Amino acid sequence: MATVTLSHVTKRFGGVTAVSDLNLEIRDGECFSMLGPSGCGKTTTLRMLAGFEDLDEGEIRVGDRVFSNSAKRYYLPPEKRDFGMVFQAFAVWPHLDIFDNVAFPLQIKGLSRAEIQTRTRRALEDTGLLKVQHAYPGELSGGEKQRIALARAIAINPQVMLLDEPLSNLDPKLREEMRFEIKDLQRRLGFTIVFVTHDQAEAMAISDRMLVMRDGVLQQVGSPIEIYERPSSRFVFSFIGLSNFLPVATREGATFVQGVPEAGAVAVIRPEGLSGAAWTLACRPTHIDLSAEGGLRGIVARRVYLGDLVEYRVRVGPHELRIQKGARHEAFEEGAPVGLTFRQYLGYPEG
Amino acid sequence: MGQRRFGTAELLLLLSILILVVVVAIPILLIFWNAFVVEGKPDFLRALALLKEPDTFEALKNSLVIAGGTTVLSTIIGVFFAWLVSRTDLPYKATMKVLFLVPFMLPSFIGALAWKILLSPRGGHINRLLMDLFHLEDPVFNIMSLGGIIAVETMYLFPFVFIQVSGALERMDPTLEEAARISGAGLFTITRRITLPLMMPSILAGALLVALYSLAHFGVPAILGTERNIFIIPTKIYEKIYASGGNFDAIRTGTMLSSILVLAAAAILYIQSLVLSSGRFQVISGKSMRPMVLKLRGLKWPLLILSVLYIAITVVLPTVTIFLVGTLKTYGLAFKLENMTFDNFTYILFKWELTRDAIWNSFYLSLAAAAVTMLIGTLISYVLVKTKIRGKFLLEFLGVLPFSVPGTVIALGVILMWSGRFGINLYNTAWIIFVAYIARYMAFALKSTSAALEQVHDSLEEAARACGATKWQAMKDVVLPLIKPGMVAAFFLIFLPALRELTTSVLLYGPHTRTIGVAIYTLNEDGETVYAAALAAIALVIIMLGQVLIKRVTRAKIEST
Amino acid sequence: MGRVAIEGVAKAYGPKQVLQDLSLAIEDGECFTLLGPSGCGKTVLLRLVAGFETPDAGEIRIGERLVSGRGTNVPPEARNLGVVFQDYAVWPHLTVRANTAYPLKFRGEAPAQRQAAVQAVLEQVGLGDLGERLPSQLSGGQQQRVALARALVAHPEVLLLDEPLSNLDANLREEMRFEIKDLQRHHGATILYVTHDQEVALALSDRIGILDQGGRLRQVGTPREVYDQPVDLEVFRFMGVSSFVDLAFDGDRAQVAGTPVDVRPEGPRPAETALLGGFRPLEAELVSEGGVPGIVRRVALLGAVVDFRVEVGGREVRIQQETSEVMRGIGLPAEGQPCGVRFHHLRTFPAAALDGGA
Repeated sequence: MATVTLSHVTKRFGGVTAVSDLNLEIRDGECFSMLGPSGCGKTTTLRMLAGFEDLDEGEIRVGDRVFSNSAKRYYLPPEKRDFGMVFQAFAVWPHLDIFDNVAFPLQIKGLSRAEIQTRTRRALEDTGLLKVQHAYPGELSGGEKQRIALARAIAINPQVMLLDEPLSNLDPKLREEMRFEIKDLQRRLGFTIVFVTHDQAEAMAISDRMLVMRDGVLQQVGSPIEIYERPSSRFVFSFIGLSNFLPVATREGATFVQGVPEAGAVAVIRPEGLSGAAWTLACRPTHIDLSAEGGLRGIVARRVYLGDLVEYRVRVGPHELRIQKGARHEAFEEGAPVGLTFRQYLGYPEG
Repeated sequence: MGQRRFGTAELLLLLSILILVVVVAIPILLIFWNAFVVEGKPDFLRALALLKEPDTFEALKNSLVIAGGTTVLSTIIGVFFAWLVSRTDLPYKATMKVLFLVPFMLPSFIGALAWKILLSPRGGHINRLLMDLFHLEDPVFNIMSLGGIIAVETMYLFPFVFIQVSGALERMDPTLEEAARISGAGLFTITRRITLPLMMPSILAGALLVALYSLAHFGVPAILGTERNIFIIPTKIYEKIYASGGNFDAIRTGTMLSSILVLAAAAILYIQSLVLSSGRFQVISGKSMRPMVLKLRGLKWPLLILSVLYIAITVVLPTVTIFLVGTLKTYGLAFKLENMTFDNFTYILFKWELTRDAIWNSFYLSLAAAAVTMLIGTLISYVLVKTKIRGKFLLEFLGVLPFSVPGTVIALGVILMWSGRFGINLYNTAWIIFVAYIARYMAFALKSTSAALEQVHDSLEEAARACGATKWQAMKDVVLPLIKPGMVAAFFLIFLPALRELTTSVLLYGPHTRTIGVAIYTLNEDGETVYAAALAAIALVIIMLGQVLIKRVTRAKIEST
Repeated sequence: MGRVAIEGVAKAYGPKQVLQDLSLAIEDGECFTLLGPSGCGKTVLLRLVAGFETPDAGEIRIGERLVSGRGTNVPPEARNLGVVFQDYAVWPHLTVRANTAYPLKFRGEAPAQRQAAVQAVLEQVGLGDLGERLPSQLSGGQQQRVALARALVAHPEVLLLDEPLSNLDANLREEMRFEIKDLQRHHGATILYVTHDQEVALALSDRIGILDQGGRLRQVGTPREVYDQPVDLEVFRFMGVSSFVDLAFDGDRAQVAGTPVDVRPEGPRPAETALLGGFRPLEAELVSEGGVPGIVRRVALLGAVVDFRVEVGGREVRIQQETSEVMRGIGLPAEGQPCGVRFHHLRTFPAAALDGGA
């Protein structure tokens, strides 16, 4: 079983806590993403998994085996962990041809020549590189280099694959294609994937489950749709997609925007579990309707045509809200007054 | 419908080509002409016959042996220390890195002088000490040998390899090694199969530079070898020109040997360019991540001590020796306080005309050459980098030429050209040294000013023109201020090396035009060891002060921009 | 005043003919964007207007003045333009104030007037307090603002911008788009903007001109016209993600895979040519009943939208729908599941253009 368990994992660099008391279980065969802004600790976590960093506290286990334990000062070195790993800058060796690149881990293991040949060929077939096996990396494109890295990682038939922002150096179209290829490989070969990225669309597109991290602290774990529809905090809400936040206050059943009573009432119900009158209304740009009359009053500050949609910036007092409508929507000019209705929304504690 | 006017760009191109032809191309051509053209007809056989003569052949052999030995030794030492400083947890790494670069700043012939004092078979202080201590009959070390020359040259040339390799190790993308680790490889395998192969271009680049310098070097073999009849090409050329009183055959031997030097140097540079341009090894990463560091554990302190000892022996010991010997009242006295005095220094600096003139000559020649070369270099670089006219390739070729021409050859070429052949006789004047310096250092000026000009993107000038400035105003307001640091760098890049050089001026000096290097050398030849050492000490102080000054100035520039 | 007229301009570099017989008129006060892939010649055209290069043939007029052609070539410094370069080209050795004031040196204004003008334009771009800083102390976005200020300080008639936003991150790019638009309105300058980024072009321009790889002007029109009513299939594909299905005709009624669909009235008619229906990802949706039969090949949740790759009539198309709509409607389908597709509007194109062309 290749369940990866992290218990109370903490890592500090100098005075900075890069990862703080992380508890996580990654299930066998799942595609698990770690998402967060740069510096949030996701790469450090991956490196601790790989064995390139030790732990200040906590333990990492794969199945029943202990891989890292800070209390016992026990660390299995990276070369003994049998993981496959793909790096952001590909890390493909320029002085070896593609076949030798992919065969390298098999040669280290001391397998027979025949075995190396077979397994390397299979890895090259799986990644579509059989035809170019005698070429050198310098002659290939970024996407092909990434395939070499993938082939090398799957050559040893790992149980766990670690991917560190593997697609950020590729252009957008290629990124999409490679996502699917990685998913397909996983389906066929059945390994567990731990995937690090700062791109929320990528994480959501590829994962079975994912986590969001910030400043070393785990914010939320769940399936992509869970995290998108029910983000547990304002940070996760804003990180996972375009957002609008309005500071509001509910008194005697009516909700107003704080400090802007002239805008009128907001037709929302304060979500359960929030204490105090003041709270933050969170809403996606596509979940706000515009009308000439009624609703929360505001002024259209900008209207921008973006091809597939039209984006409005509407000012309510000192706040600016972003609203997206279909491309045919032309009802409101810049400077016109407009009413906002919130079709779908969430609430968070104030501040 | 392109317009073909004879504009300023074309004029500048012609002027630049003219300058380079006169300063660089003709002297070199004359060398080859003199070597291979006898009485108006090319005669290769006659020239080659000269090579077969026992003494010239011996010189060729020695050159190869010394260059080969120095290269191999420098590579081993350079790679070892580079690896130590860049890839281990050696304590005080930053300091050690700076210390390993100190030999670069010391003129190697002064080092040779010190080692002669310490380890010459008969009178060397260390030898005498050891013979007394262990009651030996024969001296333990003989520095006046091929091995001695190799050892001393290595001490001062290994930084070439060190710089290349430590730089490459530090800039190498660490994930290349991490990928190998996660693939199951241990440190030894990673070093053997990944790190070393990827370092090869840098190692080769450094090693080739060492070979080039060693082949062209005069000072160390002259001081340690000539007395023992060990000659290499540059010292043989010197001997031929001076000992023979200028007869034709001697000069022809000289030019023949020079031709070989030029061809060898050109070959080395060509190989180096091939190595560096093989794009396979683009391993430098943009992000600065911490590279894999080896924990030395038990070896930490022994290796640190080894490194410090190395510096102590190769840098501190010779320097201290020079200073101490320079204070002796008479050579051979023991190093006791009553035998030492500062009078030697004051004598050399203020009273003795020979040394006073030498110091003065070196200063004004270096300053003048640096200034003129910098200005000409800037002009030529401008044509090369900023204009788009045809015929630039000729200028590029001429600009690269001086790189492959050793100082001895330039000196000889300059003698052939300016000794009355074209109606101008500069021989024995300071002018001939001046012209030789310009030829010698032009390549440095070009490199530095080209780099500075390339940093000034075209869009900066175009922005000025869009704001209303004419081409000239744009140059004055935008380009000039931005290349000033590069020009200053070029100036110092020439001034200091010119100040301390020996190889070129030793062939060109006259009774009143000695340079510091020549003065030290001739004093040594005449047996005035104490005065030679004292002058050498003064030279070291001047050089050190100069380095400090440059660091101050360049740092000030960096902070102000 | 700030009208730019380009007539029959041609330019070659060595054997490559970058532009040929290009004609274009930019109206006074308009924000015009030249949009095209890299290497299409858009930057070359900008440089011809600026005066950094001379055309091999044709004429260029700014206002009523002939600046290039017929033997004339007015140098850049005499064209009274503002130029903002892709790499900002802010001079590192001069302060923000000195950078911005430079164009005024050549106008012969009194120093006091100069100071006032410089401070005013610095306030406009939000750098009023940073006049004494050096460019090295500023961020990329701030340097870009210095470049803008410098281009505007002398009140040029025409402002040329060469991909000024490509080196900025996405958030900053959005902000700067608004600033440029505001500045243009304030100064009333004509803008010629060059970029390969369709999003910027759509958001910023009054009109867009699309240049193809061979330096030919394919379409000139407002953002809506170019995006929604592309003159041909290439323009359609260039302006955004596009999908195509084969159209069959039963009399006058269009069909895809046997199911009737609506097509736009414009465009070529059946007769001899085979036709394709082209659409954008948001112009179609998956329905639980009816619709054109298809098979879901891939499902990717991208946050606000779900992205589907669907096989319809033998071609793979791309459809996107708002996430909450999908979740409350058909729910997330599984890969391999059959589905129905409803198209909102299909534009017709000749089939040869897709399969024949690259």
